Amino acid sequence: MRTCAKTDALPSRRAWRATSSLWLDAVRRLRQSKGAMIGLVLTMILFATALLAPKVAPYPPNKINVGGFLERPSAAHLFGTDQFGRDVFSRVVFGARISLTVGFVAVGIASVLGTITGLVSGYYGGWVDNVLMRLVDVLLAFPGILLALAIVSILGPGLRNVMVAVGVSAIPTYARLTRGSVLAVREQLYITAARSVGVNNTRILLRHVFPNVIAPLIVASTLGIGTSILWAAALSFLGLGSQPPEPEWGRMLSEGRQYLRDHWWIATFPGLAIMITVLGVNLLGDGLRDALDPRLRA
Amino acid sequence: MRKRVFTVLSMLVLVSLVLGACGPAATPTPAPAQPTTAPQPTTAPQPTTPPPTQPPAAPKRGGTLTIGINQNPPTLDPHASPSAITFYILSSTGESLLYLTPDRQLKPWLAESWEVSADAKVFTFRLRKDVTFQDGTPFNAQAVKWNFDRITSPDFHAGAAAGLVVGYDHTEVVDEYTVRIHFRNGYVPFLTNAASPVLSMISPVATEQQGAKVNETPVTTGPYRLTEFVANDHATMERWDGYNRQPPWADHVGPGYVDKIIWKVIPETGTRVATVESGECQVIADVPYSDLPRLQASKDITIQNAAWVGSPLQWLLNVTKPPTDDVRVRKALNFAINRQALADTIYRGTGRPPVGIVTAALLDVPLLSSYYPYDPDKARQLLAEAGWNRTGADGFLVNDQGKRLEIQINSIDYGTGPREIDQWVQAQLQAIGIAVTLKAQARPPWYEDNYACATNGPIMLYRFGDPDSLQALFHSKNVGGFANWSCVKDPELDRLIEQARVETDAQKRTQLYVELSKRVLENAYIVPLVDELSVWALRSEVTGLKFNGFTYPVAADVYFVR
Amino acid sequence: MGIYTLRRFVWAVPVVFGVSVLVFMMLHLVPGDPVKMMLSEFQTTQEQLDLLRSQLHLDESLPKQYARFVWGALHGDLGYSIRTKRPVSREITDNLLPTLELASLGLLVAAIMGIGLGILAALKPHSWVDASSSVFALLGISMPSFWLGLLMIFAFSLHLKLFPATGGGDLKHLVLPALTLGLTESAIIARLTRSSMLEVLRQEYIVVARSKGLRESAVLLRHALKNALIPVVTIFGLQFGRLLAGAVVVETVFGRPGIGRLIVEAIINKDFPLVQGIVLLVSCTYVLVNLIVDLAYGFLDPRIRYD
Repeated sequence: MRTCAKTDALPSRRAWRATSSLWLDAVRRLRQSKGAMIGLVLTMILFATALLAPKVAPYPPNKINVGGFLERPSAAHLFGTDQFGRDVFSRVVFGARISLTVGFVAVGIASVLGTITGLVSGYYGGWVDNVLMRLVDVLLAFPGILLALAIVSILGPGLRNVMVAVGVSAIPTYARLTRGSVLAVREQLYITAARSVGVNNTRILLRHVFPNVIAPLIVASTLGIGTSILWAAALSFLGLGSQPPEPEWGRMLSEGRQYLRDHWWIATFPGLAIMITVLGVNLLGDGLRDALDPRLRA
Repeated sequence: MRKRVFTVLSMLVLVSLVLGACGPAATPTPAPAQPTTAPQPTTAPQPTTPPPTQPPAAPKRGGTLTIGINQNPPTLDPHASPSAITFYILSSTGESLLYLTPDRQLKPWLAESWEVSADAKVFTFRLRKDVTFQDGTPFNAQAVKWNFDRITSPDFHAGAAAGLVVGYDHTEVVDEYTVRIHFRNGYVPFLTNAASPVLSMISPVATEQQGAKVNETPVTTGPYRLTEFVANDHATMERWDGYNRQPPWADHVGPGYVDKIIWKVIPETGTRVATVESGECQVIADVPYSDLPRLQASKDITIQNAAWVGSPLQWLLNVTKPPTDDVRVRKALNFAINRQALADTIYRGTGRPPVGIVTAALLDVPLLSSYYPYDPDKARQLLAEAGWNRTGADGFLVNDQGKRLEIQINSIDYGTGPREIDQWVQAQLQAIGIAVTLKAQARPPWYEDNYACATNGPIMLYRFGDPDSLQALFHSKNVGGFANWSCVKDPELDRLIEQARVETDAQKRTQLYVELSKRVLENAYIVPLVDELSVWALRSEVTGLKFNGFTYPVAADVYFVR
Repeated sequence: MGIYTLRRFVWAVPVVFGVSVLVFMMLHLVPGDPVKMMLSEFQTTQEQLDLLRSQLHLDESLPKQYARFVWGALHGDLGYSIRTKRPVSREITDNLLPTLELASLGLLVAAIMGIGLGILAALKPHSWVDASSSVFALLGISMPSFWLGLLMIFAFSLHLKLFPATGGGDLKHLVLPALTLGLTESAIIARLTRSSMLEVLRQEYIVVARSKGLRESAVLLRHALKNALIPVVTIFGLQFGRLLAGAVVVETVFGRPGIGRLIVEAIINKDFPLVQGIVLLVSCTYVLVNLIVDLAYGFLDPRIRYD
């Protein structure tokens, strides 16, 4: 590393160059991975279904008696009808909207709050770091879905509360992730900064730290969407999430349970939808991780 | 070697996964043919009488009978419970002063004979002399007094029992086996109420010793003795061989045949049905309509049902909270519900359209259809008159200020989510543009909201044997308590209730209740939904299930035929 | 080592404190009156309500109630369930055993399947065995456990009639729930085993062992497996926590008694003392288990002693 008059210009230009070739490399690796491509396709199908739901669904999802009651899958009703005569296929399609919204909002809450926490904690260190990390540990003390359950028990049932509950439960992941990245960068930048004079802290945070944090953040967010959808579906299955007549997949599973024996389609297709959606997102996330990670030891 | 073991293991796992995944595609049982057009109206299912018992080759003694029920009783103390499910169980172990047969005849039970004063204020019972409680305490007038004083004591949290002794003043012990019960005002329904399992007699001595355990194993006088109650799991009763009388439903002396009866709590309908098909339970209650055809077709299963007495399943409309404070809206709700379709779909085989504000088994006067036939156009017209005359962007009706027509139903959740009937009502009303939300909650918060008149009303059921019990639903003093959840304060209704309570002439009394029904319907305080049947499934290896006049099951004489 | 242990302990204390405060606040953040809820099904007077309120100490100041709460919790008194009126600790102990049974058997299933598949995949990297086990692992992570449970009920109970659909009690009732729980958790273990095993097999000492002429099985057993399993076994502690949380859903699907189903019903019934008690207990147990695992990990692998 050579010393230079413009102290912060050098690392940033270098970083930028490194970063841009990094992204290009990542995209190339992504395209080569079969799994990631399948994941991308599945995820895009989810997006498309959610956005174009009114066009894709043959019937309004909540309208009763569009067919007979408890009819088997047929040409008129691809996934059959349920106990109120509603078209299951249309409900599954509109359910994609709900799942996507839940996934995004929950991950949004978790990543924004978690990243801020991690950035502050990792950068300032000292007692700030200790306090914040202890708070994060308290959140982590609740295994799995328990924290989300506890939050829902306070706020009451409903999809909005589930989004908050799942989001808050996921904060620790992003906080720790961000903090780890910040620490790694800090190690390196400390030396640089020690040699230079009058470097603005915020600038360092934004220009140098943040770009290094973005990649693992993207991976975690993608995977996080899958986990959020699963947890929200679980909470709805337990009756604590979406309320009737919302066509949320987890709730549809719970409603279809008592008809399982002779009318298996009511519960089976929503479950399949959940699995395929989460699978797609997981494949994409895994692919992103493989594509982005190894190069990121900045 | 290790590799092969692992390979075999993983193969097994994959195979079972595949089997599981292939299951849905290859259902071996043919599904019953479903109508693709609107279902045809079925003929009203007749309550079946129990299968004719051929001269039994002496019913076999012994065995354990397992009965699957759909809810957990909050308590097994007959005086403290507000829920019908407690009395499913109590009807086989508790005994009351009188017995009401399914065709509404009063028969002697713990009382041999009785007299009622002309003004219906004083009831004299001459008790049997040969009765003891299961703990050995003798049953006498003192015990009866203790029971009634307990129910009406201000320190005791009475359940439904409080509503069956309205105006109770005191009990007089005339002699050891004669007891006289005094009421402040005439109380004609008391004889019927005295036959209810809600007023079962429990042992004074044992109850005072047991403390809180009375909620699990109350000590009664009946042929079976409660020995265990594990909340949310099961209650067990064992045959009490110290019982040496003839129960009023039986043609034999002494207790029943099976050694033990286990009442298992299985709220999830699919699983409950599976248990009777697998034999895990020999009897189940509350058979869902979706499994009924398959069970009826099965040669291992018999279906038995009896029509419920009391209120039909109904929606009590909160008259103090907008928009249901407007009688036009309430009438519109009544016109908007297609009760025949309801009976043909999710109550197919398990219910029929109601006739009025009490079930047909209690008062068979067809009133409802003349007041509120299914007429969605009339409903929309009434709503428009009430100010909800435009349709908003999201398809729901709005008034001139742009406010949406929103109604919130207090929907009880037994543990498996809001009931289908609630969702069905929601769907029907949404179809004409009313934005209905279901506030699904468990018992305690559900009751709270009802007391506080916080929602637009609950959909609930209320079982009773005498129409006087309508006072719980409609008398103004029960607003904020049990169970005037329409929050109605109608002096004319109060007057009719109080008058019918003291009217000793049976015909005049019936007429008063008809008037009461008409007034309730005219003001649309409620939306009657379904006259339910109590539907049971029994395996062919057992028989002998009976029902008392309150439509509760008497399992005390069930026996195994093989 | 001593300092490491001490440090971990010291850091666990504020976490437990934080958990207890959070859990305590739950009852008080909720709208509604717990005393009225408890007696809602009965007709009560204001005096009866006030009496119960003072008996439950709900009329005292918040800090005082918190102190009472912590003191009680340390002595095993977690208050009374609103719904059943029985002590919360009794409700928990009545339901603890079935959940522990389920979680243990689930962990066993997950371990056997996960480790087995992971090893298979590592032994033949990039083969069809490897590919299918990756697919299986991915499916396991993506599949909702409640859906798998329903499919199991459908196939094995309703149609093949091999196992009972619901209830608790004996081993028969444990099979399907444990399989459901274990299968979904085994995916994570399979992935970890595979990568760990691959990592180990690349190491020099394995090459050395092979070149020494040892039989492949001896190589595997004596050298590779032991080391490969270290990271796997250490996540068992974390896994147990996940399994307890997974039990919430599985117990509901199969209608099995246990604290999972207990907490769901408690939430639906707004039975906050019970929810509080369970959350407190499970979280503190989880913190404890993590602490033990961390210490054990530090003990086993001397390289990991940093923070």
